[in-house]
Amino acid sequence: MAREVRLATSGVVASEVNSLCLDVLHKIVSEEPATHLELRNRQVVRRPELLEAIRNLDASQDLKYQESLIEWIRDAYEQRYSGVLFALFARCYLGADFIDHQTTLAGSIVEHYSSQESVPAIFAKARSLAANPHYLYVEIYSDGEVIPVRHDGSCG
Amino acid sequence: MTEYDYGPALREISKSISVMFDEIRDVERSVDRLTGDVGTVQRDLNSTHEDLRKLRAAFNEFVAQTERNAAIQRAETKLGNLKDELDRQFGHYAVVRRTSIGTLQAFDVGNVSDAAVTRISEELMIQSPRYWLAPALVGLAAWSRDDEEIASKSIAEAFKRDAAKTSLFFALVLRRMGRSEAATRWLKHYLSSQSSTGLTREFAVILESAAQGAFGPGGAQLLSSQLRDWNIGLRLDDAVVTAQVDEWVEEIRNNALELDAHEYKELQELSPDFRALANLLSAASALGATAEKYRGIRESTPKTSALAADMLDDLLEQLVTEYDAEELPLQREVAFNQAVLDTNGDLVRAKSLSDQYTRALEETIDAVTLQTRTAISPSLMGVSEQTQRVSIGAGQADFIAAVKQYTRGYRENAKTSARIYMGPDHCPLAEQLGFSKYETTTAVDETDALVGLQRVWEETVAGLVEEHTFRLNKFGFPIGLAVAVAIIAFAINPLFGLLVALGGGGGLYYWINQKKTDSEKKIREVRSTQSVAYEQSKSVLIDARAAFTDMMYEYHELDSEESALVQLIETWPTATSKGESDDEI
Repeated sequence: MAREVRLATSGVVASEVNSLCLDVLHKIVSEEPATHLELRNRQVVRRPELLEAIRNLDASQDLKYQESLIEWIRDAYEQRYSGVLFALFARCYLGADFIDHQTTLAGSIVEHYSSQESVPAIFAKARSLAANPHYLYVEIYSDGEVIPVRHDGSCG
Repeated sequence: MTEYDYGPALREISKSISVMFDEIRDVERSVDRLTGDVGTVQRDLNSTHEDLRKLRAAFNEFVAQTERNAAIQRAETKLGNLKDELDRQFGHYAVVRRTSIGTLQAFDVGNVSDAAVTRISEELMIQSPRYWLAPALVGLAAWSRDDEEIASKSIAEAFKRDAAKTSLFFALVLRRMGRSEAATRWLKHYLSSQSSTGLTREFAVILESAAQGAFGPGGAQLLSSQLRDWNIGLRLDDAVVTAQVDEWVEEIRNNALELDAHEYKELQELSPDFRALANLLSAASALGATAEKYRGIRESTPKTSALAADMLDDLLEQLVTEYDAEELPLQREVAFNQAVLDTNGDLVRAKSLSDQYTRALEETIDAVTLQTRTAISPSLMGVSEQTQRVSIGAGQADFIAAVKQYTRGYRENAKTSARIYMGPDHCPLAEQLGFSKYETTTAVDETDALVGLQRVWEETVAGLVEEHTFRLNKFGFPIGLAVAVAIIAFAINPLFGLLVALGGGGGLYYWINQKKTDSEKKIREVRSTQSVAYEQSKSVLIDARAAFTDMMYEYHELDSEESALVQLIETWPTATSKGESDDEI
């Protein structure tokens, strides 16, 4: 089954509550419902390396580096056996003028959302959660479950 | 052909025209005066509108208060009636209960004859069919006069009528008399008759009495390990754990504070999103309030656990008075009406509170839920703060999960900007000048928002300005008339025509110039009113934006109380991990 990985990042001034952007990691996959075990595994604390990788997604503009990070993150999530991850949301801390929409090679797409733009309805809650400083990022699974992840890797 | 003398006719016409002009000038002056009067009326109207707005707000508040008062009065009446009903229907049980306590106290003192006790207990046995306490009382009396046969018969009968309560009763009675071994045996009977998913309400009393040491160390040990086993077994089911977390979430939610009606008024008046924001702040306020409440519980000085006979009597009395299932429906009603009184007539909160009460009065409950409820509503379950502290420690994981779930719940709906809608009545001059509307959001840059506002004001006054702008073509008719008159005069007599032309032209020029100055003056007035209105409008908008910023700041402050609350729970003093501590329940 073909898997296309798209990564969206955008720049925002993190200190301002009002100007907020989103990072979106999309993964287009099949729609099987998650098993009980997979649902349980979503509660498992995430490794520090995984959290670090997600923080680093913002850190550089180098596309190759971003792509390799995405690969790594994708594999790490597969190993968690927690079902199919659809997207990741996070605030990013690049400068406010970085509101670009880039489409890169090998299927990695960077999308930016500024505070004025509205996102697709399914992401609305995730966006509010991602805006909160207590959460590091938000996972969205293909069965619709939205899980905010704290800075220590625990969920909720 | 004789020339017709047009002179007099023309003079007449000329006179009429100048009279007309005079009258027109008079009319203009009247109109100006009228405009001034209209301005005054308008100002009065504005202040009347302001007063009306205030009156409407005050009236709404009054109506709400009256409704609440009516609810309170209804509740008070009902409460009185219900208490009478309870007395009427179940009053006779009270006699048996009092007698049993009295009997025990009489045995202590030893000043009542066996015959009297026997007679009374036998009378009550006859008068209270089906009630388990009656034969138990007879058994007690028989025991005191060493009548083994009657004692065993009676106790067997009591046991048949209600095994659990009888076991418990004798466990407490024997303990009271210092026979701890026998008491512990009865306690074992009692525990074995309980199912972990169907504990009856008096189990909370057991919890309490064991915590107070009523059964001695042996009994406390027994109870503690039983509870632990039940917990482990029940928590295998995710649904049970989820139910506990849900109860803790509701407890947190019940601690939420309401935003004052006057706070952030500037934003309240302009934003349709205000209610959502106020709810957000209210939800977040629960964290700090909960932390404070539980800090108080943790730090309150434990009362000395003196095992006075009085205290055991109290427990016994509690056992025999509080837990009879037949009274349940009436007790529920009492709880609801009491809640209405407690919440000052707020029916919605009363329902939520009384649902909590009612659940506490429910007939059966599982061991895990029992512990959660003794942690959340100890007084309803009939336990003391000491027991509450221990139960909170047992439910630590649930509490923390609940905090996470609760915070996630309101954070999902957090807004980062609010819409601002400035309508025709957002400031006094807006109504007067016919301001239509201006929609913006707090996310928009302030400068841009003000530019937009200025634009709407321009549009608003555009009509007025247009009306007052000097346009030569308005004077087409007078000019045409003057030209016609001059031509006619010229036709009669060129010199006369010239005079008329000069006079008329001069007069007309003077009149038109006057008009031009007037209109410029009027336009200046409109512009100055516009700028005053814009300043009013601008300050309203800026105040609203500032109020929004303040709200967001307060929200973030309240939101960050989460870590203090979580820490409080994590460091709860009596917290034990399951299976480790020996003598804590």
